Amino acid sequence: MTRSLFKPLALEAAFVLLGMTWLVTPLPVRAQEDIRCLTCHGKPGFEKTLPSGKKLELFVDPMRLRLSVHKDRKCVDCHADVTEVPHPEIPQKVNCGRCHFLGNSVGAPQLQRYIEYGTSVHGKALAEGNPKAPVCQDCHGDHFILPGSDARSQVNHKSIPQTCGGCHLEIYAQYQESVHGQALIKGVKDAPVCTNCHGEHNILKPQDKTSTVNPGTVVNTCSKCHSKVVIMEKYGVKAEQVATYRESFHGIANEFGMLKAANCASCHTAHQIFPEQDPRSTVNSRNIPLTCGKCHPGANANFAQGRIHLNPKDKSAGIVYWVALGFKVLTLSTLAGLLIHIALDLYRRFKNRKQPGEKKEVEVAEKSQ
Amino acid sequence: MALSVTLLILSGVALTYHEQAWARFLIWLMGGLQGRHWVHRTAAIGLLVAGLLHLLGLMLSERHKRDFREVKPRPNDFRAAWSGLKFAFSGKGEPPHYGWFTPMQKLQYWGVLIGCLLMGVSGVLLWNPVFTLNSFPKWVLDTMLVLHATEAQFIFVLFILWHLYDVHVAEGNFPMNPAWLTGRMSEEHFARQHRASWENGRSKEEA
Repeated sequence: MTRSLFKPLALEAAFVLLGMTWLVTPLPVRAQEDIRCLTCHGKPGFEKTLPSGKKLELFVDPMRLRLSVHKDRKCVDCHADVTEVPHPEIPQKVNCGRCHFLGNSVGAPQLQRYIEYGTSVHGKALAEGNPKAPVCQDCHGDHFILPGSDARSQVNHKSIPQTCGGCHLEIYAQYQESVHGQALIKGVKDAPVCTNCHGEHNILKPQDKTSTVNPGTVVNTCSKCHSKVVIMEKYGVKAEQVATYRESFHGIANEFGMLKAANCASCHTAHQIFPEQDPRSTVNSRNIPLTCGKCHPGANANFAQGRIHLNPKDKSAGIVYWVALGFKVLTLSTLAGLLIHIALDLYRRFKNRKQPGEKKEVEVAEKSQ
Repeated sequence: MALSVTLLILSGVALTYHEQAWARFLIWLMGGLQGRHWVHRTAAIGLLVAGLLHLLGLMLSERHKRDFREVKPRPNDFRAAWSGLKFAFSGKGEPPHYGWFTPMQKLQYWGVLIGCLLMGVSGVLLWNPVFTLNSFPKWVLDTMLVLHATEAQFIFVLFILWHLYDVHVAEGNFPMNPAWLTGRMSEEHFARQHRASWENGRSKEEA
């Protein structure tokens, strides 16, 4: 009985050992396997016409793979379902999760992001079986994966909008027109791209309370740059806009969770942000009645008469500044006067107590004339 | 009026100092920001009604009309106030003989009236931002906002240091001057604080 149990187990153990020797095989031998793949895939112009008529490019530039972060990997490390050459079937889409998981032993970076993707809007779409859901290689590329810091990378700061724009066409077009998109095109390194506001692997729907672009959190997201004087003064934008918003009725209401109150994006929009002077801007004086009217029905052209982000502590606020200052002076001088009054009064009482006077307690009806 | 003003101050400072923990607690007590709005607005209507009743009283009641004649400012008030100040600082001579209302009380009455008017007007304009922004340039709304907030701080200081001290702690009034509930005061108190009227009344009685 024991023998019959052991026999298949021993057989399996032998297979596992065989597999492990394959893992520790020296690189040149494994590279030779790549050469076998490149017999066909290394030929420029190697392609296949799909039944739909679409042409699928099958050429892989081995030099590009050797320049990427996966330079030490060989074809079948990722295309694991290819067991014989030529392969009779079209191989499955590569599953990056074979190596990229927390606790992996092959040296793939140990990142929380792999898990974040699963709970993101993209990961959830994939789990629901949406064939259009983006997976790793849709953003990071396939054979030419580079770190985000590399200017040639698809996920480099300046390339992110184009990468996301591959699917989000309309928003990409809006963003490119906007002040942020234009700045990026001009090579401004501070210009925000999609991921600066939406996150990377942890992108959530705006309706999700923990999303960085939820009405309850978007103020903090914009503030990451817009409250920093060092960044804002380079572009002639006031950093105090954040503070003045937070002190306004809109800002206080937003802080206390009344999310119908206006946040940054309610007035400035999310992707079509333009300077105030630009006629396309939602905060251009011509468009103010429409913008304010979204929440305040009946807003007329008079809404545009005046500055919105006004700092009452600044002299440029005019009468607002002087009224605030006037009352401050009045309050402080009255405070001082009343404190002196109380001190004098108490002093007088203390003195009088030493020489108690005559006291007479007579209740009289209210005096009438 | 006392209840309205107390509620207005509590719900008002809670908004002005919304970043402070105690203000957050107050707002929480009032049922969040929306609740705070309604406490403030209800109390404001309460004060408005009190003000209207006062106006009605001025028009209808003889007693109110008499009091209003007495409370009108006169050049003599400045002299009386000056002698009062002199007495307070030097302690020499006799306390000044005030009439039916002391200059301080007159100042309080007119201060409260003008204060209520300003707070009322700015409050109503802030309550209806669409009307205000449709009818005036934006600086009007901004000015009303700082006016409302800074005047409230001023009123708060007066309320604590002047009014509450005057009627609860000041000599003869501890723990409380009951006049605000009963409408009456002791003859001793009356004689000390409103000497001229007291003497006037005395001479009439004797006659």
